[in-house]
Amino acid sequence: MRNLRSVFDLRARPPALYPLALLALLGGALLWATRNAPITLGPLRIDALAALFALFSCGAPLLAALVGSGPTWRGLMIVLALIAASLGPTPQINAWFLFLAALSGAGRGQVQRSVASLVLLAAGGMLATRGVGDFAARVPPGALDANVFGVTLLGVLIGIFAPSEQGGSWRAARCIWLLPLLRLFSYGSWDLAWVTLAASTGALAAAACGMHAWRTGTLQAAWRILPCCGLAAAGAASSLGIAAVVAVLAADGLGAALGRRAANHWVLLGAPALAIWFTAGALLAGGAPALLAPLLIGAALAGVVMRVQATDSPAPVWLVGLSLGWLVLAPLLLRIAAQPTVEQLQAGLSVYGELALVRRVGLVALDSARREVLALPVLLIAALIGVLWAAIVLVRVVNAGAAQQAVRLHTPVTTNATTPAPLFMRELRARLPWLGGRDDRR
Amino acid sequence: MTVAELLALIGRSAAPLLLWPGGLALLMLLVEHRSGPLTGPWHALALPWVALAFVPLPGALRLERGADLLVLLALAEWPRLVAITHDTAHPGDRARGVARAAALLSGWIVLAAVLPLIASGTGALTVEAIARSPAATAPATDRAGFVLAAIALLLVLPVLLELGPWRVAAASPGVQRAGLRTRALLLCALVALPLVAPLRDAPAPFTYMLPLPPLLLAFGLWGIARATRTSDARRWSWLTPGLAILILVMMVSQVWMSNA
Repeated sequence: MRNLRSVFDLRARPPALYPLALLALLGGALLWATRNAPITLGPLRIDALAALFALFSCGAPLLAALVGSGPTWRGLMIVLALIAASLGPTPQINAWFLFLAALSGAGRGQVQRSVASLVLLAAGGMLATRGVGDFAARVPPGALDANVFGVTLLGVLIGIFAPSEQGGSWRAARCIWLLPLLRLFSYGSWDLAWVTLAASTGALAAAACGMHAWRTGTLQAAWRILPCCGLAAAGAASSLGIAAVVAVLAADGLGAALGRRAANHWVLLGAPALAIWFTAGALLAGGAPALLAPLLIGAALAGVVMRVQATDSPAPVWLVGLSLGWLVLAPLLLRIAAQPTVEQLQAGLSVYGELALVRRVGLVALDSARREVLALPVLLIAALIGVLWAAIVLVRVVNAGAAQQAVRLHTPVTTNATTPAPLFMRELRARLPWLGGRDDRR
Repeated sequence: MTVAELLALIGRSAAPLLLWPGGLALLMLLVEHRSGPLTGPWHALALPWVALAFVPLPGALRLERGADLLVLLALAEWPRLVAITHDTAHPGDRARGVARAAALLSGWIVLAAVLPLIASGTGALTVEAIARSPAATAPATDRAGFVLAAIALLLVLPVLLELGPWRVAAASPGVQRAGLRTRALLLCALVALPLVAPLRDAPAPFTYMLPLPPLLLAFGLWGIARATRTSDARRWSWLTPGLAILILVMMVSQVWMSNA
């Protein structure tokens, strides 16, 4: 209850909270306005994909601000640049605003890499428009070739792996880098070789992030697995892949709010797990089951680090509730969020992977022959857990003595009593020498 | 699905939840109850229990909508995650938490090889894919994929059940222990699925042999636990990457076979 009240205690919030809330409202309205067809605002042509990323780039810092670790006024500038980047109609314009965001809020390493990324993405855009200087010019049909794709993929990879400072708004910036790649779908469908390249790069990068997180024990590296999943899912180039990208964005937004706090409730790892599920479904339906291996290895390692290596201050209850709500309502929310994007990018997407909603039961991932490859009856599971919960509560009420003892056992653990994370990680690494890792004693 | 159908589905779910196979878990819960009070977070028990209701064992009433292996394994791991969380919060139980987290990672590294093998062999990761053996008229590669999936699941089971080198010395308290037992039952049921699959559609004299594969499985697991009860975790820690590589080799050979 105290936690809930602290949410509404707005005096203690960072100054940028109100503008962020306004921007998030506008982003939601934009997503609603573009649900049927792209809208034109002056020189801008905003489609559902742009609206989705705009909502994400202000929604994630908003969640962080509600937790109390949100951006300051300077951070708000970054958020504005990110929104502008999202709304840009071509990869070049995306890159220019991402570069501006990097300039206004990052360390030296990030600026250098952002310049590299900018050059690559701008080169990709120039190749696509065949040297026409006008950035707003529509790309001619058939302009998407291997050069454009390769250069864009490289730029996106550099952007995702650029080092960054701590903080919610920059965490969000990682997934924004997926946008220039997804934008290519509106230029045409992808070649089989590009699909393979993007999917395998994403899955292997996920494993690399997991290993990096395990070796160094850094939380940043563990969360970086999400944009890698997004890359693998985008590589699947199907409507299921787009849904997976939306799940990645949601998980990253919730994760940005979590910051360095402890994932003190395992429910908080539910949103990343859902993103991994979608990515696995996209890869499976795309006919690449072998890529599941690096993805799962990365996910297991990153999950352990996320849980163990977090700081002691617990996440607020409402965030746990939000995470649980996203898990249970994912079928409905995904239909609202992903469907318009899928419809508007349909021309560029393949048929290898489709998301089907089973009404009031859950989600099913279908392959090109419309066979089920994965099934997540999330509402059914929630209903069954409710039935069992009622049964267990009944047993507890009958068995009042045990219930009293349960209350005693459930006394919250003081933060001083927890095992220090480095000690736990050190002992864990000593048990699994084949995974390697830094010895913390040195 | 209409609301009425949904309510009917939940009503029918009482059979798999409380009779078979979930009733088995209930029975185990009662056995557990004798060895100590059932206290602790209720969800540590409820999640693997629900997952058990989704396993289409012979004779069980089918829930109309199945779940996939990823979801069932995630539900199965929940009590283990709860136990690790509990142990990291109590410094006295750290050794148990570390041992369990190491077993979890070892198991998932092998699973990361097993799940692609199942997916490439049977074409999907749904439970039905391992619960139904391919028809006799199916291509040889499909049948080989199914057999390889069954073997891979058998190989990973001792690691997942924390037997031998991956054993966890001290028992967890209360509901956590009951949840872990239910999890073990669920994993055994999942691994037994492809073993009993050929007997499902067999003619009459063979249907009586349905309990035989699970019994053999239990006996084998008991043997492994007994033979390795003094083995050292550190000496055997290289076994899991070896196992994962072996299974990946199986997958490559299977893909190669199906392309040949």
